[in-house]
Amino acid sequence: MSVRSRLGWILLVLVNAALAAAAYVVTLPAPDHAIAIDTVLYSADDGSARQVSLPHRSGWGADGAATARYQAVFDLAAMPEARLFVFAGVVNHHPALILNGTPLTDGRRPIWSGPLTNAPVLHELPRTALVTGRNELTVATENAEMAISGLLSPLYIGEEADLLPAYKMRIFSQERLAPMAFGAHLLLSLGILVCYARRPRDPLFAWLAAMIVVSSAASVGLFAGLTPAFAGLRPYCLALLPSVGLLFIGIALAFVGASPPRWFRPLIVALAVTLMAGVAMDILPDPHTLAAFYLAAVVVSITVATIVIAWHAVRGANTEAYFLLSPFFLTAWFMVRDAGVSAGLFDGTVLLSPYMRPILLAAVLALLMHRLVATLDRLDDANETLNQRLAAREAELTALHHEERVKAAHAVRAQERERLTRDLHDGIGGHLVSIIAMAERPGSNTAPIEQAARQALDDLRLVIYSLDLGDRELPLALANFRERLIPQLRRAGVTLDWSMIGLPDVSGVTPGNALAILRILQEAVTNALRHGPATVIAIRGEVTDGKATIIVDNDGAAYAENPTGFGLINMRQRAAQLGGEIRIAPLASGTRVTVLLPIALPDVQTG
Amino acid sequence: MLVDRNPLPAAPPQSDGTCHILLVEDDRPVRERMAGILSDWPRARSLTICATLAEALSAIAARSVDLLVTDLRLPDGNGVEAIRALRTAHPNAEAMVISALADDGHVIDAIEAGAAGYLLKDSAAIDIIDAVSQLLAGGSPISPGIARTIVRRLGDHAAKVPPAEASPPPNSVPDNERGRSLTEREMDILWGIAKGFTYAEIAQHLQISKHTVPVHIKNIYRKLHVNNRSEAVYEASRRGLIRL
Repeated sequence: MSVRSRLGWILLVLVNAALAAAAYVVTLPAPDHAIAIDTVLYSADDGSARQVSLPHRSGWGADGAATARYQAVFDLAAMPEARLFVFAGVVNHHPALILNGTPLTDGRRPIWSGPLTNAPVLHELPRTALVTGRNELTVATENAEMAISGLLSPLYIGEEADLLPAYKMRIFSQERLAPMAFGAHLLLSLGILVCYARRPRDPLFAWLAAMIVVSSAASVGLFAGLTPAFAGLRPYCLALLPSVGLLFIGIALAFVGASPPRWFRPLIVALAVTLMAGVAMDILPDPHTLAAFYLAAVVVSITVATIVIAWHAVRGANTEAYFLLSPFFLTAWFMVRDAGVSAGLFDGTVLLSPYMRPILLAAVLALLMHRLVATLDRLDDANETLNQRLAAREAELTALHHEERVKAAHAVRAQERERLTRDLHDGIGGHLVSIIAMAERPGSNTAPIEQAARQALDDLRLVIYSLDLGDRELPLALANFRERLIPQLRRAGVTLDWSMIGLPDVSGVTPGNALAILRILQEAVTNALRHGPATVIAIRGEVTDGKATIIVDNDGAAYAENPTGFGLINMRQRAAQLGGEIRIAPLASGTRVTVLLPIALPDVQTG
Repeated sequence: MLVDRNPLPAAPPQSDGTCHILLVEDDRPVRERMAGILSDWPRARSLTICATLAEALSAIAARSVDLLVTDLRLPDGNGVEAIRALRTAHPNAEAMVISALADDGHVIDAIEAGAAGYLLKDSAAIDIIDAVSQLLAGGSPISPGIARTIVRRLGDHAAKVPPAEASPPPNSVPDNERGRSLTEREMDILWGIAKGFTYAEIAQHLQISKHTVPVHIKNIYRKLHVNNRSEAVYEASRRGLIRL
């Protein structure tokens, strides 16, 4: 145990001891300037009479007297000018007052009444009943129906102004504070019931809610003075008290996170039901014995609950248990004390346990708030952690995505570069090499050089135009080829007869495979120009057996008999890569080259 | 059969059919080759040869020009500038771009600046003269690739209405405006060319004369240029450069 927690312990013990002792240290002021009477003649119902000093207890738990009469004597030298009043700080059995044989009151009961409450009395002593000299004031109480001993505190006789402050103080602390405490109890109960309604699976909330309901029902008995209708309920309400006591144990266990034995919950219900049934059938012992049992049950239960909490506070170093220990201990202590006081075992006039109930509830509520805050803190932490993880993951994903994209773009570029390199190598590269070779030849003819250079440029245009092609844009590629072909053929004096209206829609067109098709056609045209004196070249698109077909006819010489030329081999290779084929057939005059292509071109990456 | 709307007739360069030609090309062999081809052409009344944009601009300002044949990549600027200057100084003159590859983007820039045709630098002399003659006769060459690029630009923006408050970048052109000014027939022709059909196929499909197709194309070019210019004026006024 650290120094700090040891200090905390010491402080806790000291504070609790101080509060527990407060009832003996703090006393309410007595009136000044009044005749104080603390010795009276007491006569019980058995007829015996003796001098006693006030405060005095009578009835059950004290002398067992069913009725008690206190005869106070005071002298008035002269009839006073002002009106005279009698004041008693604590009277718990609603006495009848008799002055010189004249009844003043027959024992009016305050609304707020109960076995553990008591009230002050202030009553006028009417001038008509007063006499000069010796006056006799009798205070008579009925103890019979009360479960605890009757109590009378010292009597004061004086003017109203002198007695009123003390009376008001008593009224406030004993009559008003108790209902206020009850009101606070109801308010706090509401909070707990809401918690239970929202989270019924939580055992703590369930225990607290049960306690609220049962103890509120038991408290109805305190209103017995309000209306006669409540009077009959009182025994039933009181029958709930042992169960209330047991609920304290349940709450204590729930707070420290322990579960009660399996038989514990049925016991609580059974106890309440049995006792109420007993009340209904009127088979229970006399009210005094019953009250003693109830009180004992509550006191023992709260003591057990306090021990449970103390045990967990000390053994389990449970902070919450530490926090609850104080209110539980004080409640238990004040109940024990009040029971003792009521039974005449301890000195004391004011009963304190009614005030402990809201304090206990407030402590419970404070603890619930503490738990709520702790939960929210944990939630925030969890959220923060989750957010951080999420952000980290996101950043990771973004980085990965970026990397992927860069890689993909890289791959596409590499592929495109490879294709371009190949295309340029196959086309323009070869032409340029030819041009250099021809130019180096001494006294060379410039015509072939020019032709090779034109072919190089044509091929470059082919490559460039095909770069921008989209899918299904084969007609566009073919039209570009046509545009290029027209001047070429015009120079050769050949007419071009072109129609692609019959060509079906071809999908899968990429720059690569469009270029391959154009090269096939270029080769076919070149062959037609090379082999024969063609005057017309007809190029048209058709559908043959579900295949896209481009037919190149020339009216020159037939060259089908020489299919081994490099040009033809290249044409066939390219067509095969596109999933198509080349057919070369002689015409009556000239040659027909038929290019058959699938409607959906494959994505040609190599070759 | 639908009656063709009469396209605007090409302005005759000179009363006798000859024209003043301005050639702008920085590469000397190409320049000399083109100069040779053009100067041999009987309809060339005069031929002014420039190697830079600055020379071209001063020539446009200084003398009468009926036909501008210009390269786009010049050492001191873009041939498009020369086309714009020509459009301002000589509204009836024709402009043609010469390009090694005739890639779509550059050619369309030139069309929007006011060019009505393009030539490949390696074209044979006969092809060059043929293209120039066709241009002066009111025809305009258009490649399928260029047609497709125009169609794409029109289509990309056809559904979008340009926001009134947003400030578009200086060169951005609300293409749907351009598209709107093209007639249905012109759009059909543009589509046909972009799809790779020949003029004959398009004419047959649309039931029009084969010879009117180039005229329609010339009109398309003109509208692209006019719209582009009006947008340039709008843009300039919006930016406070000129006051309308």
